[in-house]
Amino acid sequence: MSIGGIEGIPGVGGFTPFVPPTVPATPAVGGAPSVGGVGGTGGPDFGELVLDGLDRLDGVQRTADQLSVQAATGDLQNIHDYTIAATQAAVTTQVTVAVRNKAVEAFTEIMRMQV
Amino acid sequence: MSAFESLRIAGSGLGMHQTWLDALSHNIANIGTVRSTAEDAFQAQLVVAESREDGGVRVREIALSSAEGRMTYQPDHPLADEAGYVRLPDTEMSDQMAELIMAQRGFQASAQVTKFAQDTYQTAIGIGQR
Amino acid sequence: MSVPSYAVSDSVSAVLSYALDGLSLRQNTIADNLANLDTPGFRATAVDFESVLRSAIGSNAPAGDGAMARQLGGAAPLTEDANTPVGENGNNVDLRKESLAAMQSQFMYQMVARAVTDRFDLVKTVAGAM
Repeated sequence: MSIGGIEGIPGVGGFTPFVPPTVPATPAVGGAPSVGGVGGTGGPDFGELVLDGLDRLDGVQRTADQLSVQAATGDLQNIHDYTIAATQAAVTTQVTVAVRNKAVEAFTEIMRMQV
Repeated sequence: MSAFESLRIAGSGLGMHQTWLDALSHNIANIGTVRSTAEDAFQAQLVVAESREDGGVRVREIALSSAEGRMTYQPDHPLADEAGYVRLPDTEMSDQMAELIMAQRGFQASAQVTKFAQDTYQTAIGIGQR
Repeated sequence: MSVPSYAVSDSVSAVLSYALDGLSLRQNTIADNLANLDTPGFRATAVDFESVLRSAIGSNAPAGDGAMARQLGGAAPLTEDANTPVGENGNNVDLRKESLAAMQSQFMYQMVARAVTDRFDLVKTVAGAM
């Protein structure tokens, strides 16, 4: 199974079709990856990947908010600027949530394993 | 909102052409207006348009045609002077009608733009929605 | 004209976004030309963003590094004089040409917007299936 952070999905700031995330190098034997803990042998750890993904999501949502404020104050240059940003934020949120759910599911699965 | 530039510009086009149409119908209605030689002739309204720097068009001024008009010999007219002359407007019906057609065409062109603008805005709002 | 930062990671998004901006600009220009259909001395202008896009696409391999977005972010569409004959009052707006251009850019806008929506749908589908 693949466990990856948002980082591993190219274009989650954009609209490219989904590419399965790849696992950064982690030790095969031993404990489950722990959020915030020291993970793999030189790749970004899982916790960092999750936070990075959330940052990107936050940025996209903030862009949409800024544009909506511009629309309200009459400073918006193009209508499509806002609608694209809003759709972007919605889609990114969807992907983030889906990946998070999958990650939690995988984590739970691992924790359940008899060692 | 500058997102609605098209609409503003088309609106200015509608406004200017409407003014032009109003002036032309005013002129045409008065094409036969007779005045005595003691007064000015009926002066036709001439709309002068100029383009706006930020896009669109505006009416710079409404000039008036000559106050002398056309001296016409109509001795039986109640307003005729001792020589039998009256003043008619210095305006040709054919010119006014030709301009009327142009003004209508111009008005319709800007009206068409507002329709297109509406469709575009609708499309823009619908991005991302099914 | 800047390409929004959300498009950084994807060349196609940058191209589509640029096209929408270019088409909006074109529609504003057409609105201006038509509003000034009868303005004496007015010279029509035309917007060309396609050649900027073509050269950007030609010189960039599709990559996720934001190169396309950066290149397009710095390249404004060209605004050039429409090469139409000038009438006797100095005006060169060609009504037929502008009307056709208005229709065409309207449909093109709808098509590009549709492309944007479709690409979003792809990601949504994937997110739903995860």
